Amino acid sequence: MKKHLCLIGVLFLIFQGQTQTLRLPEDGFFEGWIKSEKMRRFVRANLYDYIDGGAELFLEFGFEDLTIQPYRKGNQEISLEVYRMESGEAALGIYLMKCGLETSLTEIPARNSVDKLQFLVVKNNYFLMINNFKGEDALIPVMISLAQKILEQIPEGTPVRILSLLPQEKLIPGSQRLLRGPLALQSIFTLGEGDILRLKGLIFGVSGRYVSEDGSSHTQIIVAYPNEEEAQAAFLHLRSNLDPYLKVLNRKEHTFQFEDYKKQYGIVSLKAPVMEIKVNLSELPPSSHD
Amino acid sequence: MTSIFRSKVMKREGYESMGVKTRFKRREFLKMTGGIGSLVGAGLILGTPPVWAQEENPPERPKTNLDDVLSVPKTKYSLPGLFPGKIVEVHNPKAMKEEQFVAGIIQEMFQKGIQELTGKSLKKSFSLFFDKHDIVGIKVNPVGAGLISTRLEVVDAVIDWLVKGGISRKNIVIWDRMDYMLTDSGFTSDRYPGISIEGLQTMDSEVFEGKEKEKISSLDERGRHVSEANFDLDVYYWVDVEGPKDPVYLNQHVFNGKYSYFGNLLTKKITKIINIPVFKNCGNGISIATKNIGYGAICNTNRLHKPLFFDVCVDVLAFPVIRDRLVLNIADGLRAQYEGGPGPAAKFAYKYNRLFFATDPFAMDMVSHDLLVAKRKSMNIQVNEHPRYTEYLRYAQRLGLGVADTEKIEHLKV
Repeated sequence: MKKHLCLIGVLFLIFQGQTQTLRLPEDGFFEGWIKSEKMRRFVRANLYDYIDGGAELFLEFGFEDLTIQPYRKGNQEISLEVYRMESGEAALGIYLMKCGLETSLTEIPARNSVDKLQFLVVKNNYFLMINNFKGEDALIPVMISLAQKILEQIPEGTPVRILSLLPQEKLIPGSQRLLRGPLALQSIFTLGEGDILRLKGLIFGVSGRYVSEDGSSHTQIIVAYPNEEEAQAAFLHLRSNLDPYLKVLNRKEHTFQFEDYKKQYGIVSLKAPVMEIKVNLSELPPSSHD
Repeated sequence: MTSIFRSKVMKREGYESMGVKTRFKRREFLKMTGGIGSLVGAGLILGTPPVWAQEENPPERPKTNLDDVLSVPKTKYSLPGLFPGKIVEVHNPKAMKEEQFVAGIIQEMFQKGIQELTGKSLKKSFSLFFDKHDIVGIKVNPVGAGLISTRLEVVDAVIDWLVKGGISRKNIVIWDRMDYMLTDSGFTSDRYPGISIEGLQTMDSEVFEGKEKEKISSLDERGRHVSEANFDLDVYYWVDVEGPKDPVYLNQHVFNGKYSYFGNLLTKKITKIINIPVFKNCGNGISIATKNIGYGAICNTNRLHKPLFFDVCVDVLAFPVIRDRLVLNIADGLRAQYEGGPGPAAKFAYKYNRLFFATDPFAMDMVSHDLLVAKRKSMNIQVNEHPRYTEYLRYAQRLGLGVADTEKIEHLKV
């Protein structure tokens, strides 16, 4: 039994090692292309050295390490950046924050958004960037090849299902986002200061924009907490520390409505362990809960 | 292969400007893609609004020396300038043909904009703002060279106007905070003979890119920045916040105490300023008229992002050295950027074919903010319209520096 446990332990370590260190494509991965500089690696503690001003968002979503490897052929140059994140959700969260309207290539066997200067790709817990410094069309096949050679090493992983929390009806395509802390939330709506939803850097929430009845759009944020107690605590924290620009119109035990600075409306509902928030509503919604 | 690579945008090779071909260098690229490496530069220089939201208890506003300067009597040129609350938007869809900027059209747009702003001819307009003895500093925005940096064609139109008005070319200065960025974006003495091209400071760009070096070229043997002498130690924005004490910070910010000094160029040489920012976002806010000056005229700025951020764009402009000399703002919206800013992001740059004119930079920012919010929404960008992103404009209005109340702003479209 002890022997079996040791074997399982060794296999686990090997598996972990494989997921932590992808083999970077060697010289000649594409005709004439070679590594042009020494590989660089960044971990949580020094990510700021590379992304000063932007590291916080990666850390909030769950960053593990970054590997950077430039390649060149003559005076042509591309660079590969491999971000290993904690989970598929963390990688997808970053990808959705960065990709804008997705423009994808079918040759890349993973979710991707590309333009001539840069490929963004997400697979499992990896987020890849491939940079084409001069924006040369001729390098696009090289970038595709580079992406393929990395992606073939990354297992499919567990599908990210958290976005299914969002109702599909009237969801505006491409508007889905993940959030795991105040930085991601800030790009959506200001509900209050700090970790106002009590995500604690651990819990993922989702958001999406929807077409409203009158043709305008509103945003829905949904957080499924691990248990009812945490959901209740988050709800109370939000209600007690709501942004001062939001005026509470009515409140019941598990819901409250507010008017915002644009004379639009919002509603927060707790159906523990899930908290649902709708903002940017053009009309005051009926308060059906409670 | 999807169609995007067959589009006209994708066929371009670099960006052309009046014969100056600007190829992306690695350094520019890192800042242009709006992705990850881009923030190596953009975050440091231009600020990152997200830091606001991280604090459980946001810090109180630190003390500053602003009260010392608010009592200085104003002049006829003092902000909000000769036309408070007035902004002129000139649109010509022919300003960009394919990816080329059409100088003749841009010249016409400039002429229309000035005339509509002042109600006078170009010649008479010149006399409203300048006399022939002025030394005019043209503040450009060179970030994102070739993609969203200030277009040379706009600067050409301004220089042509100034020279025709009687100002000698040697009394015109194209300036920015960083010398190498000016070069990268095409503002060179070869391109502008007889005109001064001046950065307030230099910087070791390799360290700026995140490379570790034993010797930082911008620091001398004593560890002091070689550009220290370019700043006026008698004219400063004091804020009760220390800058970080490390050489990497010093490389980019020259000083790291509680003082942000104004450049000698501004305090001792220039008598008038024309501000030519670029039309782009800055997170949920914008980086256009006031930020181009607020973070461009002083050193040691990164320490200010967290406690003051956009308020710096008010405080710095309240100093007489700016307040009384900044006579005209022309926002370059020929190619604009709606997301990924303030650093360049090619994916979010778009042809806008517009120039904006105002003496009042705060009114210009308010109008621009609303226009960019509308654009962001139309492009399916999630927009947070919280008032905190325009609060600094209302703060400026309370100080009498500009007009932020949209009902009092006159927005003319030509």
